[in-house]
Amino acid sequence: MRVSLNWLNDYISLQDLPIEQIAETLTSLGLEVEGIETLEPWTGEVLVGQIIEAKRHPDAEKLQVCQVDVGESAALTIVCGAANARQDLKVAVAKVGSTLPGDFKIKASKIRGEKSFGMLCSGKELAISEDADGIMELAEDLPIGTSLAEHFQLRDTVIEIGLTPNRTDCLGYIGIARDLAAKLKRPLKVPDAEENKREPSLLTESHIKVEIAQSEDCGRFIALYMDKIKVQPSPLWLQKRLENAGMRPINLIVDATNYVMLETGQPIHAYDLRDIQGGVIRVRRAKDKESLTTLDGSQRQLSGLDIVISDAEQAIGLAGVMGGENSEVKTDTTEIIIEVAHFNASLVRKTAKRHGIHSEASHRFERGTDIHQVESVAVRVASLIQDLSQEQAAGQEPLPRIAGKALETGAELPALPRIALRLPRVRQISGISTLTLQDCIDYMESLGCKYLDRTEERVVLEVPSWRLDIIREIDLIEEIVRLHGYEKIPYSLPMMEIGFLPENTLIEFIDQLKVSMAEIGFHEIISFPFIGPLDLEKFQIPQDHPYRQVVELANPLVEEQRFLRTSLSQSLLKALLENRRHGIVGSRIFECARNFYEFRSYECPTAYQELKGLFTYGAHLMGRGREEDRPLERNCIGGVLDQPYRLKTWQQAEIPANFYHGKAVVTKLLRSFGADDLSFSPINPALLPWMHPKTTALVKIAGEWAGYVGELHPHVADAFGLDFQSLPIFFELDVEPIWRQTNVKRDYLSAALRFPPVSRDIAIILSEHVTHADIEQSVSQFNRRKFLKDVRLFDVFRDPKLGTDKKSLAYSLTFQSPNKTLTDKEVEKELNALLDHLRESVSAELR
Amino acid sequence: MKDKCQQVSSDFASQQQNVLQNPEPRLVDELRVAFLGRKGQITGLMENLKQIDPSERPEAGKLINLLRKDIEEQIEALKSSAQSGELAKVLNKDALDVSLPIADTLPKGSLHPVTLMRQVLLREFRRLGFTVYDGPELDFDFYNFSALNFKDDHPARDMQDTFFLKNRPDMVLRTHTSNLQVHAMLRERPPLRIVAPGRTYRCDSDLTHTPMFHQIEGLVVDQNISMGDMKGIVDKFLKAVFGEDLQTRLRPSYFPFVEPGGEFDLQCVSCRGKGCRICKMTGWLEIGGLGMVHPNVFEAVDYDSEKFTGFAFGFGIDRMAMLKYNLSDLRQLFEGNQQFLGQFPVYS
Repeated sequence: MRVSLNWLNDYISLQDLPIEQIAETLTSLGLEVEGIETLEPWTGEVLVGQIIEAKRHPDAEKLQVCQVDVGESAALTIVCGAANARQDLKVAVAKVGSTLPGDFKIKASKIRGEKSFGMLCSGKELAISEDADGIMELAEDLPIGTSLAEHFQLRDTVIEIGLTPNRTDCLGYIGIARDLAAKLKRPLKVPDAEENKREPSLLTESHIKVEIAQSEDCGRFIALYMDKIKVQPSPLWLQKRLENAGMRPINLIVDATNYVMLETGQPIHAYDLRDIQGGVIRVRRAKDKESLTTLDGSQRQLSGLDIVISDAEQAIGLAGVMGGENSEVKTDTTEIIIEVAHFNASLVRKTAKRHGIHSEASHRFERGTDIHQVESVAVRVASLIQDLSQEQAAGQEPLPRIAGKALETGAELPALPRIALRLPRVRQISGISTLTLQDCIDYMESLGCKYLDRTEERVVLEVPSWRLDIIREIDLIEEIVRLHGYEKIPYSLPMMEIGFLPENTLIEFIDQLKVSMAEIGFHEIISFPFIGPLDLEKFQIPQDHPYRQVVELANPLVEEQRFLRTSLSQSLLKALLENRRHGIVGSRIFECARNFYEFRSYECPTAYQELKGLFTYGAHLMGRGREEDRPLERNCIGGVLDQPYRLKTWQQAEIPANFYHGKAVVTKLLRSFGADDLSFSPINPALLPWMHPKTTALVKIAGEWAGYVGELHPHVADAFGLDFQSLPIFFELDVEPIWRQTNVKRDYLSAALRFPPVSRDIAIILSEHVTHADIEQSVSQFNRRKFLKDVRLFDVFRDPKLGTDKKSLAYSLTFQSPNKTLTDKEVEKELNALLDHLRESVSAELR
Repeated sequence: MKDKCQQVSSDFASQQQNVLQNPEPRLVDELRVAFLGRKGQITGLMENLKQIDPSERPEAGKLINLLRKDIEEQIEALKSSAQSGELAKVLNKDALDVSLPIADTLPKGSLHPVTLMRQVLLREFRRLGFTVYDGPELDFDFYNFSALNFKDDHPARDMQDTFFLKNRPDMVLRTHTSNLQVHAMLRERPPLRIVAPGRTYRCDSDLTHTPMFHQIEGLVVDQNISMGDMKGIVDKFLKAVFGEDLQTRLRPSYFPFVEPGGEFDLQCVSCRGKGCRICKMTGWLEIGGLGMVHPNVFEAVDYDSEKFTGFAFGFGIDRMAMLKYNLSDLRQLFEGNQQFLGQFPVYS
């Protein structure tokens, strides 16, 4: 809300206070000052002068050389081209050294050989009016030497207040002045609506009838008739005030309604009586297919949810939102009906939203207006129209007349709320033990409350009609503390039981997971979780896939952010592109965040059953939240290992990143959290369609789905413009299977083994289809195992000499006993047994 | 026997001489085997002893033993000189160019500045006895708005530009972490002292707003909590994070779920209150909103609003991270650029 300080001074005298102090006071009241703008119409002096002599320029027919008295010892010589420059005229003189609007600098100059010291200005040159036709002709009684900026109140300070939606009363200047008056303990000056200007013989009801169809739509409707209206521009000072408050001046009638709205917070509308058919105003719901062209020129299709103002035939206004074009005040309007009403806030809000209109009126109505002030506002605006017309007419024309009585329609006014306030509660909530009941009463009275009844520790207060936000005792307490000053609240610390709320261990676990990932050498990113339909296409995810069951936003910012991601890879790929774009090679980034799924009414095809670990509520959700039907959120950690794994160095050639580097990262991370029972198995290509089907593994912890690691699918890389010859490694793990491992109880050696280990190397020839995992599996089933502690692969060898489809795997075996030093014989015996076992289970031959 | 001993002795002396020329451990060992080994010369002498007259044996035995002792000592000496020779060789190898770069086998990672800030905040709040709470990012209108005293169709709802879910009209992307107040109070009974950090969403995107951002919510509820306690706790934690010498300020404001409500300002960390670009010449930085829990909120979660009072606060983590690390571009936080992010440490 833009507050003109000149204008505000009408309601509370603040001239003696520096602007910083006013701003600070407002902010301390909760009326936060967001900006202060000093408005200067020009720099330098522009004064009232009088032409004492005007002579024709010797060298130019259209120019005159004027002698102008500006109240200084000598007259100024000014060359002027305006035809209306003449002797005795009071004119606006811009002196040498001033700069007019549009950065127009006034300098001493020579015009066709004649010296000129200043300029006689038109209204347009001073940005006072649109009049560029000749110089301004000022009133004869204006004293010579008067500053024009002061005379026209052109100098102003505008305070921008960020109003919170509860303070409906401060949508009018009087409300702001009232808060300041209460805080600064200064008198509030509210303009009187002068009754004596009214014309008892004029009756509103002989011109108009008002009908309200539903009292809950419109609690009150004031219609006030005026005649002998002359539609003309408003006085300059008022136009400037409106402009400074952010409104455009239109004509005297409309300006007066806007002025009183800004003064009181109550929207007002004026109708041209000629346009109200049938002499009746009806407040009713719009009919089906009814339409209305509003003042902004748009044609609106209305519905039964909109309240309209209509005459006998058609809608003439969208109630509380915007007037109709068909009934607006025009240049030849002579009779008007002033409308001041109270409309249902919720309905006005819905109508404004539905039609995409945000007007000054709807802004106020939807927040709630003061139903008790409608009549006085109507009288105030009528009086102002009369006063302004008088000012403009300068006593030469008949003045507008105001009907003797307004027509008031509506149900009985609601009673003002009465609230009991307890002093101990005030002290307890605020922590200010020095507040007395009298302090509380004083503060509340200064805001317009009436106290009805009091005991020693309790007072009953009647809340003024304009404070719609004061409903309960707590609201009164806020007012008291606000006026007393938040800065006076003493600092303390809560005195409470230590209590004990158990913390979900998942929270700290996730924080530690991030630390571990960073320690492995990855850089954490945080990305927006939004993706677009195109991303899902490029990721090749079919409609029936669990990762396609997206949560969709009703109002995305852009199409590319219509959905929430189902895989961190979708976000990580974008970050990877960002890094590649900036020439960063070998980036290693990770993110730990949530994926979102909408599995309501989804049946998972059997092909994707391995992903069913996704289909449960995340453990971050506790209590009642788990019992509700919600989209799923799962905490995941994912990363990218871009090419190359290592840049070339003086010791080594460049190392390209491959699947095993990714596997190493995943293994290291998982082992750090005690997840020892890991397995990596090939994927069914349909399972993860954005990953390379041949170089991707499913990661399982203790046989349970935990995620995947592998190369990006070359088609996906290509779709995103990445070189598919050099694929980045992606991995993604569901956090919860890892977290659950931290709770698994396991057996630890109570002490280190004292007896030395013995190692033996073997190489075995196998069929190509037998994997290392098969060997590990076979070893784990070796039932004559006594001393074998560790099996480590150290070589993979392929050679035609081994036979077709054969390979050799070499293992280093470690044997150790907890209670003795092993003899060669004992080791040989177990080694042979193992070889027998491998021969039987996987047809391994010793090489 | 005496002659034989002398011969062995001189034989040893000459071979010892050879080894001394080049005291390698291998040669020393060969010498040892040649004289003291199972088939060595000393063993040979002992074998000979069997053939001589028993009366001379003690004398001869003494001689052989003396000789063996002598050779053993000599070999020990040779061994240690061979050892020092080897040590010297290892010591005397060429000096490395230690300025050559490492092959970066252990590259450093980094945590996001917002995560680092979160670590700092959680550490301080746990010290103050708070429990950390977590919950959903997609939530029902009830938790995000209506239980928090946002009336239906009230302009207060416009204070937060809300993302709505398309096929679930009663759900939103949470606009604040305050939904956790409702979750926590429905689950727990006072005394409550919790903080809940997390991601929040609003459909707003410009230089100073991102559609996703981070907040930390705080909630303290017990039988006698006052605004003074609220000021005290928030002041303590802000000073712990940003420095003891900074002033803080509480001023009135409005959020539907608190009454009295306010905003907390911190003296500008950059200009210390003088006024600069970062604080828009005001000398103060807005840290977040707070207030006493509105009785309507207590009533929505079935707490006795006469018996219990409490306060809640919600602060922006991103803003605090930017202040702490002196960052100027909010949007850069979420672009994932490794050059920018990689400069941050792993621990806060």
